[in-house]
Amino acid sequence: MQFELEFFGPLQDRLGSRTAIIRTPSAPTSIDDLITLIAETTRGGEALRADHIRLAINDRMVSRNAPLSLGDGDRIAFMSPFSGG
Amino acid sequence: MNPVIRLGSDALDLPALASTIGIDPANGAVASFAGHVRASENLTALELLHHPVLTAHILQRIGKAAMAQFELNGLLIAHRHGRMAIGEAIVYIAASAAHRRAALDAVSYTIDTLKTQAPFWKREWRGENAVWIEPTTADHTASEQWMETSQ
Repeated sequence: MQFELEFFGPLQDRLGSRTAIIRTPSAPTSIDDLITLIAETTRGGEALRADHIRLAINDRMVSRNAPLSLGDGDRIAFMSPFSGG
Repeated sequence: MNPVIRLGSDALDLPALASTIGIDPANGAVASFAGHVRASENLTALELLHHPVLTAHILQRIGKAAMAQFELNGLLIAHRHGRMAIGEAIVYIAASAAHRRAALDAVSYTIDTLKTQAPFWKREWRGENAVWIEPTTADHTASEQWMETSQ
C-alpha cells in the first residue's frame, strides 16, 4: 500500500519537505502505529508524535484517538498548530 | 443564511468589503475587525499559508457557529494568504445583528476562534530568513473563553 503524506506549517521544515510517500505491506490501524511507521522511515518523523499535531485524511480532520481505516492512495496531512488572523 | 467566506491571495479592499454587509433594515448594528501586518524590527513581509481544502471548510464552520450563537443577520470573513507587506490587511470580519452586543461579540468570537482553529500558518520574513510564528498562550486563552461561554 502507498500513502501520500503532507506536512503543513513548521512541520514541513522539521521533515525537510512538504510531501512524502510512504509504502507499507499492510495499513496501520491506529494513528500511533501510523506515526511510528513514518518515524522509522522518514527523517524528522519523530516530530509527528507531539500531541499538538493535528491530522486530516483525504481533507477530513480526524481525532488522534479515532480508529484508522486507510486505503491505498490515501492522503494524510499532518498540521502544526494553527496561527491565522 | 450562511456566512460569506472570502479566501484568496489578492489584497483585501476593506471599503468594498465593508459595503457588502449591513444593507438590511433588520440590522441595528454592524461591527467589524481588520487585522493588519504590524511593523517589527527588520520585518520585510509576513506570509500566511493555508490548507487548500480544509481552511475554507473550517472558516465556513466557524462562521455558521457564530451566526447561530449570536443570532446574526449576516457575517463576512475575508482572509488573505500569501506574502503581505507591512500595513496590509490579513483578515477582515464584519457581523450584522439587531443589537450591538451580538455584533461585537460575534466579531470577537470569530477572530479568537479563527486564530487557533482555522488551518493557517504564519511566518515572518526578514530579508531571506523566515521564522514560523506559533500561536501564543494568549491566543489559546482567548479561543477557549468562547468554548466556556457557549457551554
